Amino acid sequence: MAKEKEARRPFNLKKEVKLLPGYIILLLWVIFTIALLGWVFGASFSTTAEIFQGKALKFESGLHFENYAKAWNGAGVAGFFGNSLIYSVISCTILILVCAPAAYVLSRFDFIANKFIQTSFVSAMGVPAIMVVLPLFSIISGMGILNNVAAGRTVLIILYVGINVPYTTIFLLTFFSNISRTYEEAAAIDGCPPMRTFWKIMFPMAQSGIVTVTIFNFINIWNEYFLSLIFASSDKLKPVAPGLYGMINSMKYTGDWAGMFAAVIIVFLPTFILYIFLSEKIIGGVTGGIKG
Amino acid sequence: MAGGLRQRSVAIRRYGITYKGGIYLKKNKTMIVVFLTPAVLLFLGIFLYPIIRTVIMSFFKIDGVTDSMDLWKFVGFGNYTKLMSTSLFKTSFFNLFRIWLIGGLVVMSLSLLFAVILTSGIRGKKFFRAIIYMPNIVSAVALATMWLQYVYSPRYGLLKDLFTALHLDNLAKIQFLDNDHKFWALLFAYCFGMVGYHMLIWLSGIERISPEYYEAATIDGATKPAQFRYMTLPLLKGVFKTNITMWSVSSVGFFVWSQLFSTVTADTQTITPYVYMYMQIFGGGNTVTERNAGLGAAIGVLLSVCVVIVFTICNRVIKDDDLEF
Amino acid sequence: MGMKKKMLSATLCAVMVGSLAAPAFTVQAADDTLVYWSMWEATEPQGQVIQEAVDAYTEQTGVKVDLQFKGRTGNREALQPALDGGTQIDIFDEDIDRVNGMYGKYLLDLEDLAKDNDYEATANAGLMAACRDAGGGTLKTIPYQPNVFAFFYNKDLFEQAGITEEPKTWDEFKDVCQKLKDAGITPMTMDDAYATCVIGYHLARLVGEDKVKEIVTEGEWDDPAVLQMAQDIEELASNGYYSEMVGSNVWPAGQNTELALGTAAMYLNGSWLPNEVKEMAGPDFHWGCFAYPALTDGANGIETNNFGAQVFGINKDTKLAKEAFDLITFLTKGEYDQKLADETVGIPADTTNTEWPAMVECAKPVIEQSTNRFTWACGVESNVDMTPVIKENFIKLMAGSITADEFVSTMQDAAK
Repeated sequence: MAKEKEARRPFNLKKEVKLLPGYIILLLWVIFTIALLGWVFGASFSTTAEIFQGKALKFESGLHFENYAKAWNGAGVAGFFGNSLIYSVISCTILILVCAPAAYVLSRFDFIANKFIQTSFVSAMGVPAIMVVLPLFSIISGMGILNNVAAGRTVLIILYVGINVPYTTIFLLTFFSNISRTYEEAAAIDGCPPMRTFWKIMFPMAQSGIVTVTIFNFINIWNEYFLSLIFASSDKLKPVAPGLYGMINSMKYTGDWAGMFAAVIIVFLPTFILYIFLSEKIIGGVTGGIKG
Repeated sequence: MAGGLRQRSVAIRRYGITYKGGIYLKKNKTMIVVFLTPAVLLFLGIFLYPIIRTVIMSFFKIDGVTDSMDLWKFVGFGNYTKLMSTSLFKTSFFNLFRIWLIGGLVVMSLSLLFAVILTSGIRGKKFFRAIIYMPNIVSAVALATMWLQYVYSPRYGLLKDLFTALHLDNLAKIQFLDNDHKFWALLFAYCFGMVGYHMLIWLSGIERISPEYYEAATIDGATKPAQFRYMTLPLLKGVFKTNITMWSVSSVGFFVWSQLFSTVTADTQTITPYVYMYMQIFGGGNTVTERNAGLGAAIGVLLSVCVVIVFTICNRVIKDDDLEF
Repeated sequence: MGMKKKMLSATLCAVMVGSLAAPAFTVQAADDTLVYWSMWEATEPQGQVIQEAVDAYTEQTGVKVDLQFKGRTGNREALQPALDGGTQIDIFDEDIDRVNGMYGKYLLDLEDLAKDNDYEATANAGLMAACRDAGGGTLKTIPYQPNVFAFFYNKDLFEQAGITEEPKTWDEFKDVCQKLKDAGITPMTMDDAYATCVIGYHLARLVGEDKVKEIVTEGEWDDPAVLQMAQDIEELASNGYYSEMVGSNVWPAGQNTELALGTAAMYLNGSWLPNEVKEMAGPDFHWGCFAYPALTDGANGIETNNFGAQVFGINKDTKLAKEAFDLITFLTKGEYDQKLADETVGIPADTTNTEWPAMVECAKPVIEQSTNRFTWACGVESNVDMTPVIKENFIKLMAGSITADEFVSTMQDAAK
């Protein structure tokens, strides 16, 4: 497709010059971003005193790797990452399988409840999470199933999926509504049943939207704090956010700001690597699929 | 499928996309039911009871958010009228409005600009995309600390150094975190983090537009800006709607940044309805204050209503069915 | 329909993988396990010492403890819903006023347990009295990690300015400020987070905490004490006793860059401050501490201070009250109390632990002279609708950008 064509494009000076303003704008923004994040990265190897003297990046007293040791100290970090991975991968998969068909139907067909469902979904997004989560907690905690690890995990995944259904559906709506109907018509003429048409043709066509919303969902669930804080009653269930935000907080409370930035980097790095890995893999995979 | 794409663009040019209903699309009640049921069931399961409870709660005075119903005290519209007469709540709503409107304008235009540049055929697209989106995956705690302790510092801050180097001494002297500038400092830092997210939404919309359109337009002699104005923008209407909805939803939940820009106790420049709600539900700061989860619920209801209004207006104004060519 | 089935089976598979990924065994629930929801983080020193103490306790007694670190906000948000939902939580902790006030109805009365164990023989009497007071006349909580809110200062800078006596009255205080200023030292700084504590202390010194609460909740900003307070602060501001940064300091900028690095001399804060800034201040920083000075014709003097503690409470529905109390005793007495104090640069709860960490040693006289107690910010934060407005305008007053009269009239308008 277009992207790959461009990647292999030979160098053409006239074209590049035309694009120059674009390059400048992007470069300025990128330099600013890198300066900021680079500062955090640098600060994580500095000392608190140097940070507050404005000498975070001078490293006058050398590189302080012990910040990382201090931030890591005691916390079952690997377990938190494992939990987050389980929750995000499973929830994102279910979300797409549940929301893509719903979004397609809502975008394509006029029926009585259509607008009503859409509006309900949108208003649900406006309801503060606290108001949704606490009543649910009362119910679920009353059932007495939270003491079981497997049940706890299932409850968390169902909640992650449920909470994100409105968002994901509304997000995908536009992507389906913008795809021309000529495809379904062509498929119908060829005798392909509509549901099959959806999975074979429409679903791959909405790939850019699906990838995007999956990245958002993934990062949302990976970084989710409030739900897991309340529902993950044991350390065995805790995902990254409550586990590692604890790290950030404890560094802050003890006035160890260098350690706090180290904790930030520990939280950030795996997420970032996953982000790069995920976005490229999925885009590559789906694009490949569409050609075949 | 490559043939399909060409066929598609031909079909679009021939019939337009202003196509409603359809021959085969009418007879599919089973499909509607089968495709919708899982999503609707999950929605009902997770949201219905809490939403109804929230609406009911907003008419009561309730101390603890999980108190049993026999401890609730009916106050009718009391919570709503109390909110309307509380100047701090009005301040918080005004702040939210400023964040939504001004921040929205800034974020929407910047993110669209980036998306357009990224799809204009520049090199290193993946690199730029990854870097611009990156702030989104850093925890807000870290981002806010970075802005507060580094960028805005009146002693060694990035902005101070930058303005000093450019000999803009008046700008270098600004105390970005005093009461007069704090709101703008907060808003700018927040926007910086949000641009990448909305850029990705624009990007996914633009990438879905078939490149054949542009090739055809280029052959017809249309310039890049003209292509943007007459092709990209109209085709992005739906994505624009998504962007506005998502921006409104995330603005409504504006909380963490506020808290980080004013630790322990809230601040008139940074307070938002969500922060105010939090204070009403869990108590504010270190003092044990009177709590009223009913008031918090009323705020929740008001915020939801705002989102619905924005969404409805969007749907009225931007009809993504009538794409013009 | 085929696709649909595939989708369903994929969904089911995913759910099953999720639920079976971990072996299905129970986490707590066992009747002989104590569940303790802690306000600390697993990685902060308090959390680490408590973890160590709990392990030692289990080893000695055989009582299993399920220790969950929930953090400050974690406990504040999740504890009450969990208790309402009937989750088994035997012990929990938080600030003295919050546990007694917000969670009071879930607490077990500890008078008998304390008597049986002779707990109070080695406990700080003032704090125990404060707990009884907060518990409505009966002992429902056990205090630990005590703290006091007072002026902390840099002894070397005082010496440099030739100050030999800590100020006890307002005039002496102003005198100290002037001497510091003459010596080229910024007398005081403040961060936004603690601004309300300054106004609270000053008002409460003038009229007492109850009246402060009345002023902020009833909107009595026309009270002469408010103007008096505002004029006192205005005087400090116009004499240049506050740092130029007070208008824009966002916590922790003031305490970290001004106080700890030695450009400002005094900072009104809790006794946790030396610990928070120890990395910046370094080992050679000599801490001093004095109570908020007494005001002429004030309602109280330096014997009344904002002191408090974290407290342990026991769930009234617990089946393990005795074990729970034993664990609390284990944590707040002897070896682990001392260890908690040492590791956190805190104050011991056990009166037989007389060795205080050097950095907070200076707060000892202030704690010992305190016979009456103010709550947090001396009640000035009692009205959530006003707190941000008070904070904004009081910071402006300290920064010298508004006058005392403007402060009073703005507050009167805002309270309408």
